Amino acid sequence: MMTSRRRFLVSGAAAFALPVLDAFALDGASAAAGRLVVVFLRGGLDGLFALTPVADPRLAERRPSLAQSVLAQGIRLGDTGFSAHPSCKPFADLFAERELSFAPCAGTTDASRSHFQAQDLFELGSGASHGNAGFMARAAQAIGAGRGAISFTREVPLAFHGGDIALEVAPLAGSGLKLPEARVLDAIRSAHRDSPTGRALEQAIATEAEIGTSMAAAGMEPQAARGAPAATGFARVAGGMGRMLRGNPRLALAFVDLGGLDTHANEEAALARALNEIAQGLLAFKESLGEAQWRRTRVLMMSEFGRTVRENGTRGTDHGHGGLFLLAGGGGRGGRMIGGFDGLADRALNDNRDLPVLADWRALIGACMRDTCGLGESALDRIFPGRPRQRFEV
Amino acid sequence: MLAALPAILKCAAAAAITALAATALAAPFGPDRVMDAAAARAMLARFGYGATPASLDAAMKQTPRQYLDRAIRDGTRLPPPVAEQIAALPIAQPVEGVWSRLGPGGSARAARDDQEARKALQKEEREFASAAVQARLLAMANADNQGHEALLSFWLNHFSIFAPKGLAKLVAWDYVRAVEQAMRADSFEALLRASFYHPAMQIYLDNNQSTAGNSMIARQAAERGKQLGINENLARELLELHTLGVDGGYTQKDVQELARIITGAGVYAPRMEEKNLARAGATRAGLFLFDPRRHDFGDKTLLGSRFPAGQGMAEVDAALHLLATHPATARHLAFKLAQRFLDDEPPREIVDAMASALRASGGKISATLAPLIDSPAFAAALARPAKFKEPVDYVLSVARAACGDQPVGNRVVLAANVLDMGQAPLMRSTPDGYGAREADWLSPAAMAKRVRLAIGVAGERVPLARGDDERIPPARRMIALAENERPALSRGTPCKINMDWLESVVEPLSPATRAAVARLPAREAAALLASPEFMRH
Repeated sequence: MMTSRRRFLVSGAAAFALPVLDAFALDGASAAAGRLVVVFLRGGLDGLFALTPVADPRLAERRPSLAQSVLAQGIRLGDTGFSAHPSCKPFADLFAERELSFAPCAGTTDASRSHFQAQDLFELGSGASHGNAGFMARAAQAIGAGRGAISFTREVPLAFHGGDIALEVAPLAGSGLKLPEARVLDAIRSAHRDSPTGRALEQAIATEAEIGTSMAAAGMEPQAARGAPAATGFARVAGGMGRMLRGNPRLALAFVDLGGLDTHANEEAALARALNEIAQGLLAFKESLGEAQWRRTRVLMMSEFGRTVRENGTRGTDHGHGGLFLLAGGGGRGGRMIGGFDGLADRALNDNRDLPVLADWRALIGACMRDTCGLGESALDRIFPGRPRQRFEV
Repeated sequence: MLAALPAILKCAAAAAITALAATALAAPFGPDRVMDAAAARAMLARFGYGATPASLDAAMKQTPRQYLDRAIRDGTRLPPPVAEQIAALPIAQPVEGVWSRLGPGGSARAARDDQEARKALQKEEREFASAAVQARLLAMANADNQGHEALLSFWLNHFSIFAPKGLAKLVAWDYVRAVEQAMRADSFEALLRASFYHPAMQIYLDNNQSTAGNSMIARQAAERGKQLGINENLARELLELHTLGVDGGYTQKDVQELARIITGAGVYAPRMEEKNLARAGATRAGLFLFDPRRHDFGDKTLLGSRFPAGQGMAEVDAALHLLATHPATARHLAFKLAQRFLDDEPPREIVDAMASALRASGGKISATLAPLIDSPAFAAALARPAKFKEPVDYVLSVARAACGDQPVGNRVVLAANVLDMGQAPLMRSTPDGYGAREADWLSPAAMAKRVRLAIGVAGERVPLARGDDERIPPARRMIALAENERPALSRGTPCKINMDWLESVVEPLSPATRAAVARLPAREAAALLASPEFMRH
């Protein structure tokens, strides 16, 4: 069955044609059993570029070149005073359909403005920037046996480090798993038994098998992609994620990351392209997941920090503090701004340069976990020790 | 203890084991002791990409200290066919000529309105980046001075650039050569200066565009209604990554002051007129340009040191010296070297000793490494290699073990594999460089890829010696090739594997690996290359 197993990964399609099943119905889980997908945007997303406070009179002066296209062609987000950059049209559409909310001043407690320290802080979720155990590993433990967590990344992200239970990693970019025939594999497995390399290899074998069955359960046909234009980059990954999750109700938590957002110079073209890819990816995910599951899914996108409110001297922005948090999902509870926005006046800024953090990342992720996985306060305290007592309606 | 003594494994008699163990203990690894085969193999795997018969012979005539001195000070020799291959790549042309043709306003850019011509130019530019990545891999895989390549990779990763960024493509290979030349001066400050004053770093971290708001060029632009100003990118990473380290005690204010100090540092463009540059008092060193018309001449304070107004280029030099000799820099570098070459979590006392040695020696790399190789922990680490190989280490060590003294000439296959595993040289998009810890690299997908590569190489299906198609696919296409296993990658000449040699490279084998080898008659090489032992060094 080697070739068909390869197909799951290479083309994202299975060799078996089974009827499409609602995986949640298959699971027999209650309607509360939802799913949280964390999309970590590495590099420090300039949230003010994506969704912009066009109603603020200081905007044009703060961002003489970077605010031009949103001021001219931005898409209004209800009565929030914000508009979406033209590259983010899908976000604006979802907002209008009440399937997307945003927090313009969200973020971590990081003050270093170092990408790497802030990303570690984000992924650890403990309030410290050093440590070995990530919030997804603790959350997977809290939701208990029978439900699982998966990371669609090439390596094991820090967020997944340090748990006692096996977490899955299924890269949807690169050459994937594609393991060799059983006889050779078994001999190699035996040599690695009971070692860290052995555990990683066993996980690869288990995940490969799971991808196979979940693709089959979702009724993917190998011919399905024929003739359709191949989605590139994140849209392709996100489509694959949706298919895999749809066929695999057990996976309640998912994680994926994306880079290329560190826009110090000539931001307009590069970031418009990146944001459009992210937005197209969200649509691809929604579509492949299917309406029934989209309703019970929350997709949370955020970055390690936002960027400077004022554009710098090279038509870009430098490292800042508060940043944009996007929350998408079906069920019509979106279309809101979360956590507030104090404007762009000097006194409202952090260090007179950045947006402040008005919504703590742990409070936001925790609220999503409460909502989708039914986690209570004490479980959330274990996942995010020392989290602030902020409550958000998500 | 048995696993640490390679020679004993083929001996069946218990008495012989005891006798050999006693000899081995009487002649332990020592920094000033000429290496035996086991020590030399371990050294070549830790400070290099693994032994080949010729490199093993050479290392067995040296002590570890001599090996590292040679690694720092001597150059590298490549087998003639490999050297010829690199000489035929576009990156072998003198960089000044390339820049005057393809740099901003270069002679080849005249026809920029012609769509076709522009496409051809972009393709040519991309080839410079891919060729630099591939040439670097050829050097690492085939160099006689393996320690040199391993240390150079360390510094290139410390001063990491992303070769495909903008026109850094054209100068990425020159950057490799500049860092290499600085490494031979055995001085951290020389390395820092080589990196900072290179156009590749100036472009990669956007400093070539950073312009002081009160400078002449900014004022002229303002008259035309265009706002120019400072960009903090390089200043921040200089402090955070290249010198003091994130916990080094600097503030956001220091980042901003350093950003002001280094305004004016940038890159020469062929469109600039020599006459104007001379009149402005600009300083050129190769393709690096200091343009006073973009510099902030006001006074500044960096890390408590005052930089009086009006200094210009001299204060850039002074700031680099301040950063290079800062105590936090010594700690940061010592930790990174120890983490890469000793252990993911290096013992505190060794790091401290290395940091002190670095400061006491005025920044000598050889002196910094001395406490490392003198430590019992290093001897133990070589006797029982436990550090998980990074992807590049693994791919190259597989190639070298399989090829022995045959040149590893297929640069496309090397590049496709390390790209797919996420660690191509000069291709880290973020400036922090690749991680060095097991946690950075060990994952289910990593294991699947390693096992696949091992089986392909063992079956002599991976054309490591030579590929049939020697065109230079751009990086993106190389990833596509690796993803889809297109036939293009599998056509060519594999290396003939010598099983005795391969076994000696992987030894000592654990009983579990020995059993796995026994289960795969005629495919022993796969079990050896995919063994847990061979994934560590």
